Amino acid sequence: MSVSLSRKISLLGDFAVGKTSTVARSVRNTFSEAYLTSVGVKVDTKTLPDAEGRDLRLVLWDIAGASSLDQMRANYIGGSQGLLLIADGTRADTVDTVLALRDQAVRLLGRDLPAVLILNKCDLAGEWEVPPERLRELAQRLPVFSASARTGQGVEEAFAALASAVADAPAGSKSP
Amino acid sequence: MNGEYDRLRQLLLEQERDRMDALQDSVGKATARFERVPDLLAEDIEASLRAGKRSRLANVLSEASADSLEIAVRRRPQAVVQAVYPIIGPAIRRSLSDALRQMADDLDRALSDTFSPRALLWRWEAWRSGTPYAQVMLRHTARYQVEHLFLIAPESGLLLGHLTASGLPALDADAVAGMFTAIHQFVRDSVTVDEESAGIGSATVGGYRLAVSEGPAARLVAFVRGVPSSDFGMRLDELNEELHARYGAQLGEAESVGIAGAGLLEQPQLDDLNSRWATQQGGTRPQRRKYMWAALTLAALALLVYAALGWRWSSQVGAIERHLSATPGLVVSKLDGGERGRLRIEGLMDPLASDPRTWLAQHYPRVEVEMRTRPFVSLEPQLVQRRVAQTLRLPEAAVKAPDTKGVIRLTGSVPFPDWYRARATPLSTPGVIGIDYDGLSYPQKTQIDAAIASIQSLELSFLSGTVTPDAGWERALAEMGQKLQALERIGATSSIAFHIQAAGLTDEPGTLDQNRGLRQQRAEWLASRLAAQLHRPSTMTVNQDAAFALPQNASTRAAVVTVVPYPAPVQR
Repeated sequence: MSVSLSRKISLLGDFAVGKTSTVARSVRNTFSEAYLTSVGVKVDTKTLPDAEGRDLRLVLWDIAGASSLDQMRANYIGGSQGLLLIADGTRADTVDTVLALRDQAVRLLGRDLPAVLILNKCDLAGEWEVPPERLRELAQRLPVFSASARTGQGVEEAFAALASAVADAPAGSKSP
Repeated sequence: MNGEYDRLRQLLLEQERDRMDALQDSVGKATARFERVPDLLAEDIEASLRAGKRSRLANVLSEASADSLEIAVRRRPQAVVQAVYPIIGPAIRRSLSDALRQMADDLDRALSDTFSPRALLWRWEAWRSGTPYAQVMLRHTARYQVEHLFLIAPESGLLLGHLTASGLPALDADAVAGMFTAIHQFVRDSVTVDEESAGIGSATVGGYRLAVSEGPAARLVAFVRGVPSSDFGMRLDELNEELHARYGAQLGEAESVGIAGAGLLEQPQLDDLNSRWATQQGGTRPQRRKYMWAALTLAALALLVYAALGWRWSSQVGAIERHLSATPGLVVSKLDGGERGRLRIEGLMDPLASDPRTWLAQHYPRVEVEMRTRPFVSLEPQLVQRRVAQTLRLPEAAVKAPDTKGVIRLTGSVPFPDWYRARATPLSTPGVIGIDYDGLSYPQKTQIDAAIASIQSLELSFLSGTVTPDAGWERALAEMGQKLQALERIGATSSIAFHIQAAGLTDEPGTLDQNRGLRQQRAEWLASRLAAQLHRPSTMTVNQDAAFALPQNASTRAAVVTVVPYPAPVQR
């Protein structure tokens, strides 16, 4: 029996920040994106090795974008052991939104939990709105990665950081 | 004055005042402690629960609560019912709905199977084995397979265990468990109004039926291929209860601590969920399948043979019909070959027509024939020919088919009696205008005809007006006698005898009476002399018709004979 860990990761972010696109090219897609519009969430998985050589299975709940967590979204994040926060670097307000979503999630869950912030669309340098000082401030609060869903830049690094953070957290399950 | 009064009062009451202040302080502290009594009691109960042992207060409260509840139920049952109804009601409704659904399934299955051959077989099996029919039916109808079994943490959707039936492609169990949980929550939040029965209890997706068992710490989801038995939900619940009993708090901790949950499901549990029939009969199923295929093959072969026999019978009926239609003297109005091997023929048949049963017996000996025909006279040439031959009692080969004028020609050589009878028998046959006998002969006919012609060419001359023969009559009479005797000898070899008639001839002179007398006398003269030379059964007679005939342009004074052959009577 090989041992692996599983962790539930909720993807949070405002509308059209590229949550689905960011993870689409590096996860195991089982279900159609139609679930996002119908059910409001789509579940994918991604397996990474942890520091001890075990398989760490990230169960990614891609929750449909919103500026706040309504009742349904609040139910979806239940039992999460990590958050993958995604904002659009060309829209500075989405950073504030995703941080607010994170705070709301923490309040709903009643506990703090590991989180990683991805600033998407770093390939659009000319339209970038997040100033460096803001980035430094964010980096002091949580791991921040500039990434591009189009080129794939920075995505795997963000996942690796998140996996490292949640692997040690006291939550998850082992599977045969 | 007042100062003294106050001092006096202080001296008298100071001790009492100090005591009252102390009492007031004590009362204040007690009041403060009473205000914290609920918190202190709660802390005491929580501490005892955490420690896993019950305190005195907990014991007292539990006893008091139980007694209070008992008294309340006894005194105000309606109020208690109303209080617990929101909790018990949904549970009762769910239990009733499950029971009704199970009963409906059983009833539907029982009704659908009651009158089928399979049900009769099961009834026989139940009677033979003494097993209740319902049990036998359930054993045979529970054909399904649990292909996936998920044990899922209800809140997070994380997988606590997953089993897949052998031979199925791998799937992303984590994603499926998560997505199922998401949909479950979506359904619960979107469409359900009853929190106690919220979420998906069962569902049908394509060829799968989803059965869900909800537990406080784990959700058990079975993806079932086929139609599970009505007690499947109950068995799934039992398994979930077993898992909760076995792992207890470990299930709940799995999602918060993340160290448990692996391998919580075991293969025997999946096997047990699958039908007992499938498990027990798994080894014999291929054998049964083999028999089933063999039976199907045999049935197909039987069908093929049946079709081939049917096609062959149709061909035979067609051939028979064509033959009967071409048979002279037979008009078929109905030919019934509906039952294989049996033929019913209706129509008209000439009695002289060939009996089709003879032909059928020769060519189709296994065909049973029933004929219903009415007689009629056929004018077909073949039948006319046969009818003439039968009438004349001649071989059919001696009778030719009628020509376009309706004349039948007789040909060939037949025994003399047949030849004689054919010529002597009058004929009145439909379709026949006349008979041509010229082609018909008998053995020695040429020789006898020549001899008769030679005899009939002889004349014995007489003197005019007398019955006295001319000179040399002796030689002429002897020649005639010798030729007749020779003819008799020829005829004797073939049992042919001869009728000989003597006729007298006269010339014109003389009266009619004189000439008639002369013809009569001349014929008698010759007959009397030839008769002495003939032998039986030949006969010698006088041709009276010739005597009474009126001769025209006659110039011969003679006597002649005519010879007619006939069958010699059989000597006894």
